[in-house]
Amino acid sequence: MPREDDVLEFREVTKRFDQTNVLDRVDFRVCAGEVVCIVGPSGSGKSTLLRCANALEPIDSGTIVFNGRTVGRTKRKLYKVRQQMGMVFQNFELFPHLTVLQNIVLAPRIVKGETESVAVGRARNLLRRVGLDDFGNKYPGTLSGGQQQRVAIARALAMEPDIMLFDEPTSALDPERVGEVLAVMRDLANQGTTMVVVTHEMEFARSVADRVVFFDRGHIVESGTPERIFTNPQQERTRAFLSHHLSNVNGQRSFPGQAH
Amino acid sequence: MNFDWSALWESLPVLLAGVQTTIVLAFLAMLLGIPGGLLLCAGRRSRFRVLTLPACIVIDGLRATPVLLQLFWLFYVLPLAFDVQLSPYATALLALALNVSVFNAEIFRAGINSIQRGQSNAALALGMSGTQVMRTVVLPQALRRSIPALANIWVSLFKNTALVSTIAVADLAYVALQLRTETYKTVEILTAMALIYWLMGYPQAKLADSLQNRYQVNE
Repeated sequence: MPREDDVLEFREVTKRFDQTNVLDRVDFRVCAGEVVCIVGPSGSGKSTLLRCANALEPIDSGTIVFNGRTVGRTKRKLYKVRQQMGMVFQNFELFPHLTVLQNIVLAPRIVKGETESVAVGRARNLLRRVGLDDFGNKYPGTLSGGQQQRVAIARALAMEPDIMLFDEPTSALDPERVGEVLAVMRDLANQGTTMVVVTHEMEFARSVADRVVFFDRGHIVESGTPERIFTNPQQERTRAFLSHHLSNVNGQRSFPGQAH
Repeated sequence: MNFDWSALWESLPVLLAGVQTTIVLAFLAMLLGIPGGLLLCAGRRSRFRVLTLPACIVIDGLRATPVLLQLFWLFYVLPLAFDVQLSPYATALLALALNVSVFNAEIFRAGINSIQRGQSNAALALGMSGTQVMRTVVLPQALRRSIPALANIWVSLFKNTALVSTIAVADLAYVALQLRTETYKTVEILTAMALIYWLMGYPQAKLADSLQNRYQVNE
C-alpha cells in the first residue's frame, strides 16, 4: 500500500534493452528522510533503476510515482519532476565551459527563474557546505575528481530537490579522493536528506544507509537494514556477492568482517 | 628572357582593388555561412520531416557537386528557369555563402554529436527543457569545438573566391587574369598573383593550425 511519506515508488517497473529485462517488474519505494543504498554486481540494473526514476531512460511497463504523482505523463510535468530530483553521476558531468559557480546557478536561474543574487547566494553556501568555498571562479577542468564530484553534488542540491539520486558517485575517483565525497554524502544523510545511492562502497552503505537493497539481474534479491544484509543475508546470491566483495574490499580498507 | 617587373607597380592599384573584393567577398560569405550552417544543421537534426528533407537535399546536393558548377548554375540557370536575375556579385556571394553553409552545417553537426550524452543527461536531470539544454550546455561546447574546422573552411573559402572571376566579379583572380591578357606579361602577373594569394593565405593557414592546437579536445 502507498504510504503517506513515500517520496518515490516503483510499481512493477520493467525496462528492456534489446530482449533483456534490465529491470524485471521491480517494486521499490523510498520514504522521506530515508537513505537507501543499492548494491549488486555490475550490469545488474542498479544504474538503470536510478535513470528510470527521473525518466532519463523510458520504462517499458509499470509505474513510477514521485511525490504522489506519476512520472512522465507529459513533458512539462517531467521537467517539474526532474527539478525535484537531484542526480549525481559517476563521471560528475560538470559543464566544462562554465565556472564552478556558473555550473551551480545555471539551472536555478533558467529553470526556476531565480534572481542572480538569490542563486549565487545559495551557491556560495553550498560550496561552503561541500568544503570548496574558494573554488567558485575555477573551471571544472582544473579540479580533482573528488572536487568535481563535490561541485556536482552542490549543483544538484542548488535545485533544492526532495530526493538525491547518486549513481556510483565514487567509482570514477582515485582511491584517496573517495573519502572526501563520502564525507559530504554522510553529512547530507545526517541532515535528513532523502537519498538513493548506488554504490560499491560497502562500508558507507553499512554505516550510513537506513536500508540496503541487494540488486541482481534486474531483481531486488533482498532488502533490509544494513545490519541484516551484511551480517545475516538470507539469499545465497547476496551471500556470494558480499563474501566476494567484502574480501576484495578488506585488502584496501578496514572493514569488520561480517560476511559469511 | 626579359621580365618587366616594373609594369607590376603600375598595376598595383588595380590588383589591390581586386584583393579588397576577394577579402570582402570571403568575409561576407562566412558571415552568412555561419547562421546558414546553424540553420541547415538545425533543419537536419529536426524531428519534423518537412524540415529534415529540404535540409538534407541542400546539404547532400551541394556537398557532392563542384562549387564552380553551383556558381554557374545560379548565374545561368536561375535567370532562365526562374526569371531571377542577380548581379554577378550577388550571385557570387550567394553561391559561396550557400556552399560554406553546407560545410559549416556538417561541422556543427559533428560538434554537437561530439558532446557526450552524459552532458545533456546532466542538464536534463536538473529539469532543463531540450531547448535549454541545447542553448546553454551543448551548443556552447559544440561551437567551441567547431572553431578549428571552421578555420579550415575559411582557408579554403578564401581560395575558392577565385572562382568568381569566371562570372566577371572583379576579385584578385579576375583583375590579375585581365591584366595578363592586356599586357601579355604572363610570368610577371601570374607570379605576382601567386605571391599575393600566398601572402594572404599562409598566415590564415598558420592561424588555423594554432586554433587547432588551442581548441584541441582531450577526453
